[in-house]
Amino acid sequence: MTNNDDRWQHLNPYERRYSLSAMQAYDEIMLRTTDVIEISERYQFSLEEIKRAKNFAFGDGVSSYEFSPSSDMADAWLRMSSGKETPLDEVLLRHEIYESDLVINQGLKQSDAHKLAQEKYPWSDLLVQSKKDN
Amino acid sequence: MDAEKNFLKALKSCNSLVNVKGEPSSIPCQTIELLCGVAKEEYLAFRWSQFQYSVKVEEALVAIDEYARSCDNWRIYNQDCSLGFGVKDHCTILSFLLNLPSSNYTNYTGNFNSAEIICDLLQEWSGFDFRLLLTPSPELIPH
Repeated sequence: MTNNDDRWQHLNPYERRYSLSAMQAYDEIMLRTTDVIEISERYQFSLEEIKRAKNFAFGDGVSSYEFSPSSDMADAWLRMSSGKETPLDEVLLRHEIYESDLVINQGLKQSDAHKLAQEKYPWSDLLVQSKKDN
Repeated sequence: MDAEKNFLKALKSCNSLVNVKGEPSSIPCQTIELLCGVAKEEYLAFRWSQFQYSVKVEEALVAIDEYARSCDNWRIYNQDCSLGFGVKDHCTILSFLLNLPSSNYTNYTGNFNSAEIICDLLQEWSGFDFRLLLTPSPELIPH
């Protein structure tokens, strides 16, 4: 499990200041204990798949794959874990489950796995389009 | 003049993002640095170049958009990018810079929710206050 006390120490002062709310949201997600089972039941995925996707996107995967925190991703997970999800949030969930499976279980390079996940579940594409349409 | 030349170089740099879709790249961060340099050197030239090369600016924004949509928010922090943050954050900042003086920009991560926040960050990092470019310069608006 990620150590929430020091997981952001590698960030520079600009990042720590201007990504603070995203960092806090990621930490809040990793502290949640009931989200995995709730999301698993809601979307009919196994506990293992949800746990793996969560840790990949918001936990250890952040440092392992050098992700910078994104408020959009955190907001989507927080909505899903509180029963206020949107249809787009499910696309993110499926994207992360698929990408994390390709990386962790099948050994693909993360950027290659992202490309494949993006083809099947183009969350970031759909999200940007949705923002522009609104 | 150097400012205009560097502005065009920045646009070319944005267009080169089509070659690195779906991959981490320091190009967006380097382009932010280039544009900050243009504004610091001659901020009116920055604005003039936006008007003068508006078609090229639009093309650059399309390239930025396509790149950002293809990426995870991979963190870039190295000798080519002292700013840090992720590539999609960089694309948000580039969208802001190239849409000036409008404060409408595409936010690719949800991290920078106002033009003011981006201005604060860029002022701290580059020393230039982009609020100067947030208001239209009447002398540069085509009649």
